Amino acid sequence: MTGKAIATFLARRLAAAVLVLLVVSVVVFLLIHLAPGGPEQAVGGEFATPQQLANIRASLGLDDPLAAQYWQFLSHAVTLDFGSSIATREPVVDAIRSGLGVTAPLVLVSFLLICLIGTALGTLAAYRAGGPLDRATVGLALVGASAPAFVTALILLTIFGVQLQWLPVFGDGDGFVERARHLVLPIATLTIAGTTAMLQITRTRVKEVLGEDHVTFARARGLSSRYVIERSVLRNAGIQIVTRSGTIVVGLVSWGLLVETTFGLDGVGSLLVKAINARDIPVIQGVTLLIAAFIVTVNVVVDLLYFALDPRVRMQREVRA
Amino acid sequence: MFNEPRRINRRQALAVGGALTLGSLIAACGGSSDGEATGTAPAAAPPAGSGKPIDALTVSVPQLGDLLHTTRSVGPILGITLLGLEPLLLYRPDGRLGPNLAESWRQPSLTRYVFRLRRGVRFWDGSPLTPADVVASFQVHAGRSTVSASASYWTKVKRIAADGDEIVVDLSAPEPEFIYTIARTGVFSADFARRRGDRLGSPSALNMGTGPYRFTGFTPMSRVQMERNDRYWGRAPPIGRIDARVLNQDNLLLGVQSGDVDAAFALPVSQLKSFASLPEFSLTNVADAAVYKFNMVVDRAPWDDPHLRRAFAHAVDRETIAAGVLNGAAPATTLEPPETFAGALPRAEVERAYAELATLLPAYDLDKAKQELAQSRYPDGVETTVLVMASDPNLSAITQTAAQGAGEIGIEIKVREVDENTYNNAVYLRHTTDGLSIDNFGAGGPDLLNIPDLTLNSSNIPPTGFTDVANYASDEVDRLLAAASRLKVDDPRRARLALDVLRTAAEDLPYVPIAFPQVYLGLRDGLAYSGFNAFWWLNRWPDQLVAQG
Repeated sequence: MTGKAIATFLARRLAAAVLVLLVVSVVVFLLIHLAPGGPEQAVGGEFATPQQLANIRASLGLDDPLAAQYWQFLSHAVTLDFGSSIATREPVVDAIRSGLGVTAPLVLVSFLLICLIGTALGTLAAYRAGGPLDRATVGLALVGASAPAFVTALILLTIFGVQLQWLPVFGDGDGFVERARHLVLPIATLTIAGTTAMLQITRTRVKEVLGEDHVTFARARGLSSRYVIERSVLRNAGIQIVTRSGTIVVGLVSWGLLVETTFGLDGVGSLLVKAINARDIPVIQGVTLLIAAFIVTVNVVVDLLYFALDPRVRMQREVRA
Repeated sequence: MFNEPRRINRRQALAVGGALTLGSLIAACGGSSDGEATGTAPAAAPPAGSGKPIDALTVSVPQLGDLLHTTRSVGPILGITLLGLEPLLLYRPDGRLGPNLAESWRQPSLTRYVFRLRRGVRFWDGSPLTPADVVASFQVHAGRSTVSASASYWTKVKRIAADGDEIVVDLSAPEPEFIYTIARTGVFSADFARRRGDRLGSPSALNMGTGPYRFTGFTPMSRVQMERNDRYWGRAPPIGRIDARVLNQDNLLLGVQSGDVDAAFALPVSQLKSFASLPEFSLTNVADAAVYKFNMVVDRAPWDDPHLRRAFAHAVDRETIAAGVLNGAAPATTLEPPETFAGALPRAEVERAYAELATLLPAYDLDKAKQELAQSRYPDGVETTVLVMASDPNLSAITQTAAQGAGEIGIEIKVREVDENTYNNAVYLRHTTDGLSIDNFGAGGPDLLNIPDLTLNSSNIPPTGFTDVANYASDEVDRLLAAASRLKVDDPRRARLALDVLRTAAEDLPYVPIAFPQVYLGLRDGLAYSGFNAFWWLNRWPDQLVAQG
């Protein structure tokens, strides 16, 4: 693979990403202005006088043309300056940073666990396809995935929070240890909800690959099981698993919002919900763009992993380049 | 005038027993000690019984502000803000005002209040409290450019000035209940505020007060953490650390079960039975200073037709709604709970007046409803949409129940759920409903004219106000309210004028009162609370809480 091929590919992907982010920001910006209430009500409170509302509109530049307001936002956003929250006066970046202290470990640890447990159990189930272990594993995972996340959360909270009183039932904790304790159950909830998807794709693909000639040939040559799994099976199943990983990690962001609400966590999801309720435009725009940027980044990473995993993709790009 | 329909509905009553006691009735009502105060001791009443200090308390509260500041503190939010940013006067559980940062106060005329500042009080950073701090703390709410959510309480304030150790407030017109505004207004450090600028009250800046508890952490709308101010000028604060949280219903229930929540103000309605069933958790309830009511916009069709209004009122089964939907609440016959008048007038007189008010409000009777409708301009009935919001499920349940009776006589009501901003805009701010609306209107202060003035004074119709959501304008009511404003807040004649206002409104029928809800406090075993009342958020409630055993 040449550097030029990668550079061309990356440039195209980044241009598309920027375009997506621009479209997202424009849509969100316009939607908020169409919503009832308007941002001035967030500042003045529900019962602010008309005079107060007029003053607030003037002071925030809300009477400027929409295009001017948007350009103002965009020129600052490129430097990660989303302004300050209309409601809380806190810089949006600070609020997002604070929320990420909860959401980032929640999503990332859950994702790692889902990958680890999902691929391990999926591979195991594929090797024992049709047997009791396969049925038990798939059955249990299906039960976990079928239960809505908030039901899983409530069951975990009742057992580990109320009955055993091992773990706290709400809040995100202060300091590393307390934060970790508070995130155990939310992470467990997300992991239970997301593992099935990973398990199923791994099981299906590994089972398919196991039946392919090159695996039979590798086994016939007496190669160790570990070698066969790592080099032949998982690598060949990898494309589909990586693709599913991308959708899982994006899904975790939206599931995380629900889990944050259920566990009373002040993460990015809760920040967004509060901001929407308060018509807090800078926060909504900041968080929405963050989420959009995250999703776009995940897609770019997935594409890059295709490069690494599948020589056919590399060849194709090189030929085009 | 001021306005504060509190959205407290979610915490209203499905009854779990606990009839009102006379003590709680008195505590819930608004007696006052207007005029000269002679006491100089800290105002908080000592709690009953022998208690021991509480190291840490996790308390659930119904609301917290988006800023930790007085400009964003109304209603129950004050229950936390005022612990740090304390007021000049303290509203006590017995319904009286007591000295606090002001060691005394006087009212030389109907429009002038003078407060003598307590000496030797220091902010948490050690700087002394000065009259200039008080003036700055008042001025953020007054004037045309203010963005304070409490601004409407300060519209009649003409001048705020320091004069030696005294702070003088001049009003443009008499407003007897203004003294309660002082009790709900926290004082902050003007110097600290200046240095923090726009970020005052944000999580990174917090705020600086003199109160018994200093702020140590803040998550907007979710959490306030406080620690005891060991150098507090008054009685030693009894709780070491307070962690105040806004919790969703499931978290609250789980938190109580796991022991993570020690106390919960304004328990949510939908889970009261679950809370009542918990073995180590006890509930206390008192009448809230609030009323569920239907509002009919009387200055435009179709609800400008008095026969239509009477027809609808006859079709609303208030007894069934109070018993079934608001299980345990008292059916309302007027806009204000009778408890509000306790202490202001002899009980027999109040009972007589309320018996008369009950006869003025059309009783549930579908035959009479049909007769009234036949006399109206709409003998075939009308169709209308009533807005409700999910945060108070009672609004929808009440409207659905009323719609059944109304539907039988031809008044077809559709219920539409909208978000809070849409609801508040249509019902309160812009009066753009179909003409019929429902709300739970809570008093913003303990004064007995609070609700009548807000809902019936024509000055509260847009553009000068908005809490008169029926657009009701009556010269007679305005005259009575103006006369009441020239009397001292605890003058019995003022209470009688309030009853006259309610009588007049009952005859004109801009509102159909439905029920007076209850407010609930939950405590884990081992804690006791004395003097719980509808205005717990104006009290210094930690002083009323004791650990037993």
